[in-house]
Amino acid sequence: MTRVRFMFDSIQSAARALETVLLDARQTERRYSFAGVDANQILRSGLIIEGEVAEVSEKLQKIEGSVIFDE
Amino acid sequence: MARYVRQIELTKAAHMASRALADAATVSLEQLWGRYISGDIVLAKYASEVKSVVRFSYREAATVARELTMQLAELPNWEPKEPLKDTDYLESLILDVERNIAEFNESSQDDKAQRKLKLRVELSAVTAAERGFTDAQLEHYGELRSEGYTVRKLWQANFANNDPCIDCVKLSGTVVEFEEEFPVPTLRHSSVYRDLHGPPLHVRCRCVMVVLITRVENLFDRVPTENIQLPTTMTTDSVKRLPKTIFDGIIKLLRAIARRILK
Repeated sequence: MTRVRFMFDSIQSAARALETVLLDARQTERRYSFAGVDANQILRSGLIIEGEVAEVSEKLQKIEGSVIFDE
Repeated sequence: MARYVRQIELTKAAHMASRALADAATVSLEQLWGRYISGDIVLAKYASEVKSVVRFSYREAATVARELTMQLAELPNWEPKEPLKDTDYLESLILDVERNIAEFNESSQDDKAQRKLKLRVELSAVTAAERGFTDAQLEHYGELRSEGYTVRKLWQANFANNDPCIDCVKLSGTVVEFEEEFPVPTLRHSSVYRDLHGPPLHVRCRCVMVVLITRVENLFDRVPTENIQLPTTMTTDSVKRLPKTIFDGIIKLLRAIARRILK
């Protein structure tokens, strides 16, 4: 089980990350979970994704201001 | 008709949007203040931009609540009236902003006056995001009521990443008739801003009003007065279960937040 945590440098990059993961989750057959669930929480604590995350992780890395905090 | 628990869950999911708007407004205002202090914009421009943030927060939150009403109505081909744009409540918040900026303009504009202004305009914007959601619920569920739906209002405090005040905890679980105001708890707050037809009870209040729709299908369901929390973790499956209108509303809002802040 892969687990990755992303951190973001602004609320707009956190909002983009949440949009990215919601769209990916809606459209894909891959199975994973994520926390948190609002942009401000993501800005404070990061976005943790767990499961089949390779593709969505790649998308999140392309967001300006994102950084992989730990995995 | 969705069971009460489902109605609560969907309302709370949609309400996350107004919380996000409030957070985004705070960041926008911080940036505007930085521009004013650095001399990039004059006070009149700052005032105009602040009012724009307040209006944006109110109207976007109202739009999400409208989508929620449409989803929960489950009426084919029914659409609520146009999204709320200008209301007495919003006008009152705008007047507060104007008054506070005028007061600042006439003051010594020292550190204390600056802190006071920053705090007050932020509170107006945060309140706008919360009350925009509530006002749109009142407006559009009111339209449903005139279609013959039985609707009541339930107050729910928010315990997710939040520590509600003693009055909000006391109010949580209270059910009133649609046209009634909620009773004002007096443990910490003796009065409210304008009225208590719904949240916020106070500044930075993160409570939500759930409008319960009763039909034959859920007529004998117990109204859950305990607090129902959304999970803080979501799965790809739970995202897929979100109704399309709510999902689309959240995506639209996240995009709007990014645009607003980048502007």
